[in-house]
Amino acid sequence: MKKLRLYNKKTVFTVITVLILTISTVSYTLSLLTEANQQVSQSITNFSRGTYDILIRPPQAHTELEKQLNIVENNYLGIGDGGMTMEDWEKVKKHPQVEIAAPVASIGLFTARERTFMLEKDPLDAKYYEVEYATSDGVNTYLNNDSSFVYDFGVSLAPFNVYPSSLEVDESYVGDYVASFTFPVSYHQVVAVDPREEGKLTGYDLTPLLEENLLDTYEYEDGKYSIPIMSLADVSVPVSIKLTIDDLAEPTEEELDTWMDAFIEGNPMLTLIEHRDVYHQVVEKHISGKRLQREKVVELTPDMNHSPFKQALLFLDENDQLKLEDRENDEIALGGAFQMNSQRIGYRLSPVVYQIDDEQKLSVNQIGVDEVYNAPIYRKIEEVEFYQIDDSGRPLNNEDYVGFIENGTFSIKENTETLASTPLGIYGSEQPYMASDSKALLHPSAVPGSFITTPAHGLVSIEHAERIKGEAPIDAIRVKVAGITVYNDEAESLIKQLAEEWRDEGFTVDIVAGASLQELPVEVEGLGKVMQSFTTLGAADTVVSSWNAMQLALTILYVLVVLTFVIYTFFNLLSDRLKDEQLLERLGWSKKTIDRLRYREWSLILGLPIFIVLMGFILFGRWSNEWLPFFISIVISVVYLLLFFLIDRMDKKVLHVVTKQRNSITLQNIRFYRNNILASVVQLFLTTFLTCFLPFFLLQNVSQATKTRLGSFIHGEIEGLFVVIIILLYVLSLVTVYQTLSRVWTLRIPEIKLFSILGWEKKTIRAYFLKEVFVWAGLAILTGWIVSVVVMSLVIEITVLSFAVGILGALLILFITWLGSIYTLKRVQSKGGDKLANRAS
Amino acid sequence: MKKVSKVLVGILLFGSLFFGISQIEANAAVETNMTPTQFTKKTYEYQTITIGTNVGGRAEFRFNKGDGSATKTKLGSYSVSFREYWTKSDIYNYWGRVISENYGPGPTRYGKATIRIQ
Amino acid sequence: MQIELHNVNKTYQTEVESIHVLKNIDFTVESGQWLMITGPSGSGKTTLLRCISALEQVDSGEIILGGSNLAALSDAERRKLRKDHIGYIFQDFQLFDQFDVLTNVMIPQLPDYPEEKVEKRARELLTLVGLNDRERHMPRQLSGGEKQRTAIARALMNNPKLILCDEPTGNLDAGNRDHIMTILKEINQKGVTIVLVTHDTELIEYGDLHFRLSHDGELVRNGIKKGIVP
Repeated sequence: MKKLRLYNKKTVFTVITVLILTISTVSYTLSLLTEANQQVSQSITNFSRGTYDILIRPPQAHTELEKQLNIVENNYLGIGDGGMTMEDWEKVKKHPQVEIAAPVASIGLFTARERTFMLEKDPLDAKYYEVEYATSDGVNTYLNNDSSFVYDFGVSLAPFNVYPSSLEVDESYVGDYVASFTFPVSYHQVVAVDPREEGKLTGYDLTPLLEENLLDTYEYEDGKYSIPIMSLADVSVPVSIKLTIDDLAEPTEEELDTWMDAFIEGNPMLTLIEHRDVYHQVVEKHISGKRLQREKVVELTPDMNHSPFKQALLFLDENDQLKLEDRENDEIALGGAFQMNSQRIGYRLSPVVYQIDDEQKLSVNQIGVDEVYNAPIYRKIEEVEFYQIDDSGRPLNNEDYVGFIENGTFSIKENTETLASTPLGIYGSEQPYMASDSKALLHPSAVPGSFITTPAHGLVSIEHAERIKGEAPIDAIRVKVAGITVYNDEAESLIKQLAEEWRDEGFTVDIVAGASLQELPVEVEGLGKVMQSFTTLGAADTVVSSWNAMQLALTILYVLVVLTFVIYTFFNLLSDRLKDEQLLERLGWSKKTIDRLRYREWSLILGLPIFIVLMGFILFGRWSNEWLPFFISIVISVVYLLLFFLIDRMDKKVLHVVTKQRNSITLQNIRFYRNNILASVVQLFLTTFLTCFLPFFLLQNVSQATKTRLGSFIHGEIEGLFVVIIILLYVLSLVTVYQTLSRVWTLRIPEIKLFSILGWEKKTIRAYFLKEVFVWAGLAILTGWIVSVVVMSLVIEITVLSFAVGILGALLILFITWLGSIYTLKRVQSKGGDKLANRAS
Repeated sequence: MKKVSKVLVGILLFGSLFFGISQIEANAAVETNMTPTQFTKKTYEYQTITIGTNVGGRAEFRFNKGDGSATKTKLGSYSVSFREYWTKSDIYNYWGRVISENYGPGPTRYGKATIRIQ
Repeated sequence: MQIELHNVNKTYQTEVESIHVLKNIDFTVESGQWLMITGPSGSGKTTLLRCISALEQVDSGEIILGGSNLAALSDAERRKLRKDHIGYIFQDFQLFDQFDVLTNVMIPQLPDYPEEKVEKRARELLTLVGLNDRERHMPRQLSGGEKQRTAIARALMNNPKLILCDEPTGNLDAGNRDHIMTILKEINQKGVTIVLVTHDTELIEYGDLHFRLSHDGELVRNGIKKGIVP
């Protein structure tokens, strides 16, 4: 009995190889999944939790965008009417469970300092200057309606040497050796933060905001009443200036007399201010002719490093470049003009009203046009006068004065990584771009009311917020919970508990761990389709749940596929020897002896692969210090052993049922061979489910998370693993289907032979068998598809696309199965149906 | 301290003294002179105001008409003139100031302009 | 259907030797005759049937069925000949275990005719072989004789002119054997040519002709009954 084996060597070798492969790959894959799980948790801790956990806002702060799409626009905290008091903030800050409580109070939109740029002029020279302003939103350029000009005939004609286009131009034009013109106005968002708490959140050193007694001779009372501000360093000022310079011919005495006669009361300025039309007629008729048409045109764009709240004057250097005065480096403006009350008037912007259609697509409507530039306006602007002045331009009350002294800058670009991983609502640097051209970046024009909410261009200390904005200036408090080192269930429940506490106080509270960015198309009237960044609040939740769901779905599918494969293999192996064992029994073998023979053979078939895999993982563990695959392989081995014993005890006899109703031949065949095709049916069902459900589950559920940076980071990290698992899933499924088909056809060689004897044509025989495959595989695939549709409708939203692609996927699987059937059938036909007939009797 | 460092510190102090953001007080030694400090003119009638200082070197001379309009500046040495007119009859407190590159800001000098209708 | 074999030789090549299964077989069976072939195991009886049924080709010589030389026919023509004119009955019945009796009988005609028509004919044939009450039974629920009667019914489905029987009673008891032979006799009397190979010498009397294949594959004409052409 020692040498007797019921399995042939080839079978034993094949099964041992297959088992080694399955035990090792399953163990390793599951260990990778476990590791990936830890990795995701760690990533969420590292990247999602990041700087803050909870966002507290005033009651009813949720916008429609949040309610419907759970997103907020980029830099959404830069706009707000306040609603929380400094006391509210202090209370939150003092909570024992709070590590950081960083308030944000949007102060409003301020113009940069009103000042001039100048170019040097020989006081005796007669020159014509024309200045045209334009602004751009990155895609369109908008020209200022009013072009400014100055005819300056030199000091020899003083005091009637200068003929400006308007009083405003005249007030900025210094004259003599300084030809100065207003630098175009731009608008900049100012936000109040607490320098200490904000510093902890962002890592910025914002202590310059706390400095006192800063000297700025450009400010009212040298800055005694001014507020230190830190400017955003990398703001592009969206204006351009076209400067035309021409020479003028000196007028003769007679000409001068003619001009003076033409002006009202012989006074050009009086005519300009009180009889503007007359003035311009005179200039057009008499003075403009003095231009010598030797014009030079200079296009000026502000330096990119030009921060919004710089005080210094601007000048044109010898290369016609616009420069900011920097006397330390001997870059000097010879003069100019500036306003001390530039920040007397501010603007409060209303949030952009996003229209959300039935398909949850976003659009923004234009609500008006800017009078100066004809640029579109997308939101309401409210003008706010922060303090009143007397006729001389002095504040009525010094304490009310609002003016900013730039005391340092902060940079978003340099800190993109940190800030983007934890969007803080005022530092978003993502520029929207045209959907049709990703290089066409959009930015707000010089006109207030852009649909783009900019990052904070200036930060001031929160202590000034009350004075500027009123009693409850705070728009939001970003809270980092104390004592959390790992983002786990415990941490989550603590965060939830705190959130609930503040929610009970009436605030709008969101858990924002993992708040992250995603891009959505927005149809902007007058512009077209724009890709805009939005922040998903609480992306960590989505990422965790999507990860969990994906992991669960994949693990279940994977385990099912593997188990089906193993059970099928074991069942076949044990069934195959049943006949031989029955024969041995008839020949007088005891059941015990037969069992012993079976167990001996199986101890090799199962024992050897288990031994090899365990040894392999021990070596792997010693080499990499990674023991998880080893432990999982022990579990898998035990499962395989249990499966063997369970199947061994199963009644493997094929039960034949006499049906009352006679079915079609195909159905009778399927019924008869159901045990042989069951594994394939299961695998096809699972594969179809996998194909029809998983991609859309990933698309609609996981992609929700991957739209965010955190999600895409995490899913990107583990993408490779999923690809491996999915490939394994398909491979195991297809191997099972292939084996099933081969096995069933081999079993049915006598049938094939008989059909041949009966004179059936090869293609008729093939059609006969393929019809069966078509029915059982089709049913399995159809069921898989139906189940996937049902599950999809329960878990995610079904779209026409998912429906159609699901059908295509199912058809593809059916097609592959059908091809496999043809291939295996042809193989069996060639080696069985025909050749097996070649035997003598 | 090495000489170069001293020079550097000097430059930095100098820069921050005038144009930036410093806690250094205005230099009391710098005087601002303004002439005239009082005059009467008609609307749209030009008046030249000269602002001077006692310290040499480059200085910024500022003038404000006291009517809420922008402050004008000119770079010069010892004295600079501004030729101005007023558009409405009133009494204006115009002012001038000098900020010396070497010695810092001087005090603000006020003058009174009585403007009558032409 | 007339069967003519002229000097038919068939050899099988195994790994160790060449076996000359059929040697110079030469005979003619007229249409409507019943030829009984006996011989020991391995004498080539089944091979002879397979050659006659065009399942295998001969090495030399020719087989002419109903005037058609099998060697001149294409695969498709041979297949058609088999399907349209030949019925086959095996010792082990070769029924489809997964089908009931009725379906088993219907099988030969299913690819070509409407199911209702085929079913009707199958029922007629089951009545002919006395199994009309067994049509819903599965093969495993039948006795050996019933299985073979099912196989006979199946062999008759295409109205064959020739029925080849390979030890049709080898697995049956005497009672069932006689029953089967009686049925075959009735079929033969309707003009169907029958070639039956068997070990059982008692069956020889059913035939019109009897040949014996010797152990070395040669044909021995044992006797002629009812006017035989040698």
